[in-house]
Amino acid sequence: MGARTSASRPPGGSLVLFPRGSGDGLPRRLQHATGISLDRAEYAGALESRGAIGQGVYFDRLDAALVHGDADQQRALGRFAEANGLLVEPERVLRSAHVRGAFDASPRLPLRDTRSATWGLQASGVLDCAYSGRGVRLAILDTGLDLRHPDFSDRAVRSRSFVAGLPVHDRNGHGTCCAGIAVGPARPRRAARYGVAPGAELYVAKVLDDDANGTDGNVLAGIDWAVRKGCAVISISLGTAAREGDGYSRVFERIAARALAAGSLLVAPAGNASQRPDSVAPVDHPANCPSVLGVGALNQRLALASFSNGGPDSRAGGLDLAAPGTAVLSAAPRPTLYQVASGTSIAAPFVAGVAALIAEARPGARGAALRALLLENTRPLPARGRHARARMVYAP
Amino acid sequence: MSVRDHERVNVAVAVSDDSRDSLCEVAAACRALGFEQTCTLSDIGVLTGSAHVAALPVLREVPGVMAVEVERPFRIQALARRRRTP
Repeated sequence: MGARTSASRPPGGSLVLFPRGSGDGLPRRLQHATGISLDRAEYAGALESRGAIGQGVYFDRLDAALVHGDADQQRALGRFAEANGLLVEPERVLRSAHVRGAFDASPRLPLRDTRSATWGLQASGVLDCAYSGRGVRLAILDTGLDLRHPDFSDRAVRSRSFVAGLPVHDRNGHGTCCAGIAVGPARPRRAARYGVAPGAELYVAKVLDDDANGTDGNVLAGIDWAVRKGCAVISISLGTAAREGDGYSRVFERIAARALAAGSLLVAPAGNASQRPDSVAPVDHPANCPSVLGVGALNQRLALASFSNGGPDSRAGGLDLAAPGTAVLSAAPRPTLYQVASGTSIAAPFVAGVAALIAEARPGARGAALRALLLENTRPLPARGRHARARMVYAP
Repeated sequence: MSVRDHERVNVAVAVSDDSRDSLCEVAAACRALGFEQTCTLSDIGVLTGSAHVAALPVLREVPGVMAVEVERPFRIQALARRRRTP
């Protein structure tokens, strides 16, 4: 769209939401009316790959833009927004990650767990974050939860089983692991901190049986429940393999778009079928739907894990961002209590937890706006090379 | 008609945005074509149930139906998990 400008620009911009499906017309008129240049952003890696930051980034799939302009341009933006009924919110809380565009201090790699926190929490700025996800509803759709786990027994957990004949209780361990990563407590009883958003309100939907089998029907019922409960973030750590060229599910895409419109962001794992660097599989269903956030797994060197999917797919969405997903400590059902797990399953609830932190920081940002903020606040991976475009989730 | 056409499969029927207020009518039209409905997911505008494979093209033509997809099995996306002794 517009011409690129220098990387320096005043701090604090505005998030502009256009009506759904407004296309390029309104953003172009916005540019004309305000003099603010807009660059089209492809979510992952777009800012980094440009090497220069424009005055604004237009997320065409979200019908949203983040713009920065001088005082006159901001006033013109206000007038334009009012005349056209656009929602504008100040960029007031989140750090402007795309200005800094790198970690505050280069982490010493590989990262390791300490007595107080897991390596993933250290890597993603969670430990320095002023937010805990308080007041934000976060749903985990999985094999359920050990509701009497000592790290969760004093939490108010809303739960429901969508698997006929089975209670919410998790006999598999996968669901308890995912819930722990997203919302585990600030001070666990017998482990280092492993949860990203300990203040979030946990909603647990059991959509997979205790052998971790499930179908679209269960998962859709779980999504419907979580949307109805007003969950700002819905993490679904499951998927099926997608083949290059098959495209994405129209049903799931429409549902994810409706969930976004209703204020719920769907997060799903990219899948584990790759053997990098030799082969990189396309992103799994449903993470390959454009409206679902597809998450890859990082290793302790902050590079994409060898198994993490994210290959090119001409007819489906790719990797949106990456999060810690190798050798990650979390909760396990009693009597084990704790486990260490790897997989993109682990990375997705990590992103869901960070989304809850951002949702607390920006109470007005839900759905597409929350997604835009989450992607805006990512960091480039320190490791360069083939996958330098992938970006890592980062706490507000 | 092949053998597979008689096979009954679980399906998800997504209703188009402009027909979400008439979810019940769309469901009734689908049932009249052999769709056995098990669930109405009104918040996301989806009907789940089962149908003969042969009926799927007809269901896709029902006014208000946006897409019909055969249910997929899901699996979790964890590679390795080991118990950790505190």
